[in-house]
Amino acid sequence: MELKCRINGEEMLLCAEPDARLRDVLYKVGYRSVRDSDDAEGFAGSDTIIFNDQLKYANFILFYQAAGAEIRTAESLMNGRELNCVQQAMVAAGIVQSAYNAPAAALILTWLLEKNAHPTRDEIKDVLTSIFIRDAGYEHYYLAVQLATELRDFGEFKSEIAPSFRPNLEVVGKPCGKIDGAALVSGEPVFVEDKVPDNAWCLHILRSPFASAYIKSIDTSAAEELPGVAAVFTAYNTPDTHYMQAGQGNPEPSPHDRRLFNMKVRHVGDRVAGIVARTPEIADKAASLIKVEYEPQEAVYTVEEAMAEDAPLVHNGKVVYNAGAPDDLEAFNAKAGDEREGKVIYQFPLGADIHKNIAASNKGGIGDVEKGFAEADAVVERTYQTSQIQHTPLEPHVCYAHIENGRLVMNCSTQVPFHVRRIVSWVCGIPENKIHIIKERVGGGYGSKQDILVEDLTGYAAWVTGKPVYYRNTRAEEFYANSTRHPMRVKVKMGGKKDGTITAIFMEVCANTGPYGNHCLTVPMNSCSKTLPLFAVDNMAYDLKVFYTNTPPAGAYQGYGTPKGTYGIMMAMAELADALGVDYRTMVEKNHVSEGYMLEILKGLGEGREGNVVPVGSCGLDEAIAKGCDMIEWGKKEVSDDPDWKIGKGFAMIMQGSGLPGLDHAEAIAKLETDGTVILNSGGADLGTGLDTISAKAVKEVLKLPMEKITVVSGDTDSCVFDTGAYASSGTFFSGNASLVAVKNLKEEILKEAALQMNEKAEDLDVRAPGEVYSKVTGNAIAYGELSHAAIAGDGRGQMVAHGSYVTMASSVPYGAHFAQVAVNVKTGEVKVQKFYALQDAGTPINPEIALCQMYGAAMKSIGHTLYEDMKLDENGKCVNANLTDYGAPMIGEAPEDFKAVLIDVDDAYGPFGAKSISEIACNGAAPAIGIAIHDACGVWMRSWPMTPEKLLKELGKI
Amino acid sequence: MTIHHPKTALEAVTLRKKLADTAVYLSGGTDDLRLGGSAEGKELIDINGLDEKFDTITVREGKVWIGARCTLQQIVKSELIPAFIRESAAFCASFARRNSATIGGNVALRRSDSYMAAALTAAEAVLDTITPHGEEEKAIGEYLKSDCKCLIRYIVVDQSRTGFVKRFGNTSSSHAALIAAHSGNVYALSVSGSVFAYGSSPELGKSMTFADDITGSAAYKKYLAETVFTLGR
Repeated sequence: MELKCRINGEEMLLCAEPDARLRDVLYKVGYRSVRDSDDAEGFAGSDTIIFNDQLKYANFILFYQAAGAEIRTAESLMNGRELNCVQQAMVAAGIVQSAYNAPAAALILTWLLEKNAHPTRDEIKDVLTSIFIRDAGYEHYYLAVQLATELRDFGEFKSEIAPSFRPNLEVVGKPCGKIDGAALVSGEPVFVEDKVPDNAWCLHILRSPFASAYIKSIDTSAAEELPGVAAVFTAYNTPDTHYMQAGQGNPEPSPHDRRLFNMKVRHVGDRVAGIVARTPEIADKAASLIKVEYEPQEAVYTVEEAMAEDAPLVHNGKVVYNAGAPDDLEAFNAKAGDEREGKVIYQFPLGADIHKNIAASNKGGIGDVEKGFAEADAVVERTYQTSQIQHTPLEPHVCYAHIENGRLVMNCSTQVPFHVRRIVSWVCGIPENKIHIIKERVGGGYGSKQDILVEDLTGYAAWVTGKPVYYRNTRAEEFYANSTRHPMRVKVKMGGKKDGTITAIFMEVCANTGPYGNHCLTVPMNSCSKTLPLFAVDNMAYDLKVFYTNTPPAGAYQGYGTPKGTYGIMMAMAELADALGVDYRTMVEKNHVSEGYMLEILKGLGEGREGNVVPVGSCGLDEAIAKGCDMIEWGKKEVSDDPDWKIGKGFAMIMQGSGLPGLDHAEAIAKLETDGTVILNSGGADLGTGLDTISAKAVKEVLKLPMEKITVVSGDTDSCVFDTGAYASSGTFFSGNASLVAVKNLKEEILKEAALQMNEKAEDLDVRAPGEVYSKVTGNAIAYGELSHAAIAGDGRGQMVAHGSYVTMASSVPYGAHFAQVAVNVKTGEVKVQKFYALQDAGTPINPEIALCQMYGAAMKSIGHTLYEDMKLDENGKCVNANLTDYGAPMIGEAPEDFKAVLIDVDDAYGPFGAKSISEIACNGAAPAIGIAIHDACGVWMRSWPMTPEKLLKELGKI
Repeated sequence: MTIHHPKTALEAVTLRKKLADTAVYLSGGTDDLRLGGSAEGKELIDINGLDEKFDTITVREGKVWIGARCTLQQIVKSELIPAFIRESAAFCASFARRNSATIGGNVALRRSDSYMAAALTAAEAVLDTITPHGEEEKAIGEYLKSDCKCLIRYIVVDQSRTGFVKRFGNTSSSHAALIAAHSGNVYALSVSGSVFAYGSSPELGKSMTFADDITGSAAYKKYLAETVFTLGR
């Protein structure tokens, strides 16, 4: 049908089916800001529009209902190319990060300010209930509204946006906005979905209804004959190439234990067939025509089931070692089962034993823990359990691939463009030069886009069929066919003396990796390697085992094992303090490491190889603990007016890393363009965290150029040089350092060229704003543009280009402490987080406003994991809450009443401008801080997350 | 999908009877049109285009007449409506969703985690409805226990009614495990997975049957049902 409506003040004639969703129609006709994060669940609000002057979700409006309507989308907010005051304020406040629904948020806040010039905090909170924010938390949205009113009323921001650091630097350590902020908040077509042409074919995946089954037969003939179907892929017509989907450095510490399609399905939602079709409707029809005969097998879902005697085996095929094969491999392989099991290939030994469902294992330690326990006045031994958690990025996993000039070109939403290229190369059997990966803006990753979960098959489908192929996970698939946080059982034994000295710590970690071994060794390793080094304790040991099961797959998730280890070890310390009658703060302060302490424990905690023993470097732990204790008034007991509500306080010290020393590698190229501007090509992958802005700031600081003369191109495998990717908190430290090295090298090139052109000595020259070389001796100067123009003239020496590469064995560890005050209703089990204070030493926070928002976002996520989020499986392994509502994703209603992020000022010796990582560490503190606070409030120890009211009532003996 | 556009309430309800279980009313759309919603595979009877809009809130002789097509946000904002009923409308946590979802839709869905059913029942609300045979008044409690396909036009409550409503859910946006309300001598419980219950005793929960589901175990909900009316005492 055709209808008329007004969109953004313009009379429009639109044509669509009457029952089409208005969201789909608006997006299709070019209003790209109207996105969809939840397949019309009505949760995330990415589809928010103003419809007849009211904020509504466009997914809940059918096309015919728009007849005569007045519609506004975020595209209406710009005045030409100028952002409105709300959009400018959002960028300034640091909340425009992955930004998939930032345009919708801008529209919501603009509407609010149009109705109410000076809204209260409650009024702002009320409208923000419309939208799910996963990256930056909600706290700086209040600041953004304040800034917007200031800009509107006074023409400038008056409130402090974030503290400033390093007064000797111009933009580093200052809140200056984000170089891609305007594009993101205005709704420019910067995401993968925006690059998909109308003629793209869709890829649809038929998935397993069984948690474990052999595919006895599969008949795809009827589907293949359906008009509009280009191909149907199964285990029987795709390469027998074993690989893994983890985006890790090669050789990976993850087993190659899967193919594109396997002859045995290992979880509900596992791939059975892939259909390339002209439309989703044809693909659905084709899927219904595929006849699959399964041989269901017994399944295991927990580590306890997986480790049981005679447990069903998740993998029982032949094992291959590319290095370090054990002597008894032949005998081991003689026990292999059905050929449909496939193979498991190790790049090197991971301590695995698939005949016991063990995907990886490791153990080690320092000192003598038994002696330490013997010397203790009290010993606690406790077990803590964590649940399966989903990342829930606003932009689901998505990929578009097509063939261009004989090459496979892929638009990806990824944290690891170079790993994507390598794995697609393996799967397709083509060399890397035939593949071009373009990392688009990433609408939320949090580790899940470190894995190559959709690019492998999408790339293969395009390469084989020659069609332009688009794939996008449904929100439900994000839960059951994606990756998740490893559920873990963390047992901690800890001994201490009456004076609070800890004499020994032992950690036993049993992790559930699901059906495939992505990150199976390294995530659980982090549970120990990012917790035990917090302690200045002579006797420490760990023993970790990772089990295959038939649950939805696990993989990388922000924090990468550390949140679970931190939960266990900090809770155990609090329980030990309680047993000893020692103040918990005293025990923390007595036992934590300080600068210079040699971390011998790291020797065994490498990523599949010997670890790097280093001393503690820059460390803001003392200050974070002391300041946080002051803020929350540690030791002061709060009492509620309502006797049912009990109030308690807790905190946890935390650490992470800044990339993987000796493993990570980052590179960049800086070019002086012909007019004296600079383009920096960074191999790094900005996933909304401001990494490109860090690179731009490095150029600005070194070359003294205005920011508008600096462009950063990143994550494009054709135009950029290698970078392992944005994971393990490596972005600022590795990719930022590579950019800094590149631009420093460019400066040297510039000075060398200027010396020739100016007939002066290079050592007498320096650079200055607004972008020129000057002589400290003669006072002569030459602008970069003039310099560059001459260099590329017919008789010139060529363009000034510099390459920067960064590797290191140095370790820059961020530290911090997170504090919580909770109120617990002892009659109902309800828990309210009244206060949450996140204090972190990030070295020099290069983008302090963005850093604060990352702390808010990660802490909020972690509060969600601690209290609400949980993937629930039924008895057949099917996820029964595969949507945002039932899963328990926290919205603004769950945000702490008093939420503060504080940056502890520490200068680091190795990070760019003294920076360390910021975001991942902020996932680590909430569970123990809240758990300890709950105990302080009502006397029960919550040893399982999420700490639901039901579990709390059980602990209280009420049910 | 076939969409019908009746002009009168009688036309709508007659159509609904004729189409039986193959059709649903479309009002705000937040349930019909959501992922996996009640409109999937059904014909829609769009009641937004009726000549009479049923979208006002008025007071007549001490009673508040709430049009069935009033949005939950209208309810939240209206000072004519008793506070605990407004509070229950806010259990729909999303502002944008409240701008679409209607009170009539929320009642008519008869969901066991209905935002408003408990509060309206405790308030002894009366439904002004239309059936194929004409206008009819129904007590909301009876309506909720029936499978009547009548079309609600107004929800009528005493303006002076005071009461209490309490929701238990995992998060502000997740489906509630239990919503309890009390007003005057009426106690009402919406419990996920259970039959809606109301009565004159605060021990209402003791006679209910509970089920395990994603909102919590039967034991948890039973405990809450037996405890909720003692809170604050």
